[in-house]
Amino acid sequence: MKEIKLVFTGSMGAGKTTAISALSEIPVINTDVNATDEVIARKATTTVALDYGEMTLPDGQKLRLYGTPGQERFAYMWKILMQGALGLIILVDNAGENPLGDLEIYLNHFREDIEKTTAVIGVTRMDLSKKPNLAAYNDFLRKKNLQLPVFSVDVRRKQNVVLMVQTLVAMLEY
Amino acid sequence: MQYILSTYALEKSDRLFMKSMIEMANKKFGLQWRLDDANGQVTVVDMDTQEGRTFWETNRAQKTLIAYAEKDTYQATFFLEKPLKVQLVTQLLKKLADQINPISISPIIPQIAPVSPPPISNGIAGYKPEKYLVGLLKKIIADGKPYTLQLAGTPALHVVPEDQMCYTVDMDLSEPNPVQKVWFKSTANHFSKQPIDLSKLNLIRDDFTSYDISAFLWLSTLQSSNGVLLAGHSLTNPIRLKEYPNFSILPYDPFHLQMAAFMLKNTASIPRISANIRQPMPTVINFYNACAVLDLVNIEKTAKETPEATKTISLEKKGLLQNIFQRLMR
Repeated sequence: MKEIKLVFTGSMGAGKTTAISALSEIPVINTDVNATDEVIARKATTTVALDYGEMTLPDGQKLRLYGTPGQERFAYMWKILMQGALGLIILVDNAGENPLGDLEIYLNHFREDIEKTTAVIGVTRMDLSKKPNLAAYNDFLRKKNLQLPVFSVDVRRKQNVVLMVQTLVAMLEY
Repeated sequence: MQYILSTYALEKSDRLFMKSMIEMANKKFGLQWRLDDANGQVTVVDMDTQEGRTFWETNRAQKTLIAYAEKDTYQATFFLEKPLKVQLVTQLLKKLADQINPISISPIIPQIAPVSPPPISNGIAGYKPEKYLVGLLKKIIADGKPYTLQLAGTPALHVVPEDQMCYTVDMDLSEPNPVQKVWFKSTANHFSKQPIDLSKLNLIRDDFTSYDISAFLWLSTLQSSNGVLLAGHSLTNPIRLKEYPNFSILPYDPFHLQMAAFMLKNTASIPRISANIRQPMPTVINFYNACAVLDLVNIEKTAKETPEATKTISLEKKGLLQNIFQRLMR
């Protein structure tokens, strides 16, 4: 039977693991390792292969939730995880050095998949850094000739993660 | 007076039976029911389908729905047993006509005079935001100075444009209580408006809960539009969203997500949006007004509407998406 899955991607520390944990019925299986080099300044551990969680749908099928590793050097994993996915949720850490640059990396890598399916963008940690604001993200997307939903989110709040997935589903329907 | 019934997820044959039974009910009781899926006041939902159950969960708080199923396991206010029987349908339509006509809601705060809505399609005498709380908020934002708005018998609303915030008591914007709804619907002339002394600003910031000002603009427009299109706007103009509303701040119902998705991906007139999303026109108009107030809409007078069926998804995939949506509603 075909696997039903959603993929969470985005910059390191943007909250992919937390977002999947907010939805998953099982403890998230991940491959976090102690951070080294420049990563350690931002978080104690980082994901090197993938996060995995799942939800049971009303008809008993499993919706599988995959999180990609954040660092670009693991980009070879991104395409593999995206194969056959319903859609993509991109998380961007607004307190990072170059949030729009980070977004561009993911849009470029996943452009083909986004055009085939769809994507929703969640901007995290806007409480720590208000700029760029959502208008800047929307302008950026317009320049890329993409119209995708963008939300300011706190992935520790389940309702915010639910909103992103519900929106993804709505976007897939129309 | 006419009544409009719509159906959701019914089999073709059931819909046809329903249509003929409506005619029988009209003859028998002298009623004027008609079937119109885009504009129903009341919707019959086939609860024995996944699609129907999802629709029920999504809409039961906002709409009058009839659960159509073999067994009444949904604690529905209105239930119609399968298979369709003339007697049950006609009696139900009679009962509904007695209950939904006339619609008369007594104002919760008596001193507020009801505002009669102008006709929907009249672009000249349409909805005027400046007559409501939303207009007051916009004026305060334009002036750039903080003010306290007060409606008799309700908590004060402190509006601070510098912060892009409103400050007031704790409230759940996603489910405003009846008094709060009156607040959002009230006309501007019922509010008193006092400038806030700058020395008191920090006290206000510390003592009250903060809300993004756009959430108040949004909610006030949704609540006060009453299905009346913004003055000067046309129902027939093709429209498209410039950007998806930020629902992490703006209160929403699940069907708003679908409406926004459709309007982000398609250029379409309001009647077409209503037909595609299967939401009544007044609901779409309220949503459109709120988007326009927040400057989220492009009116594309010269653009052509996106052709129908630009995207078709299989029934299997549609069912899967509804399954996911339903699971997330828990």
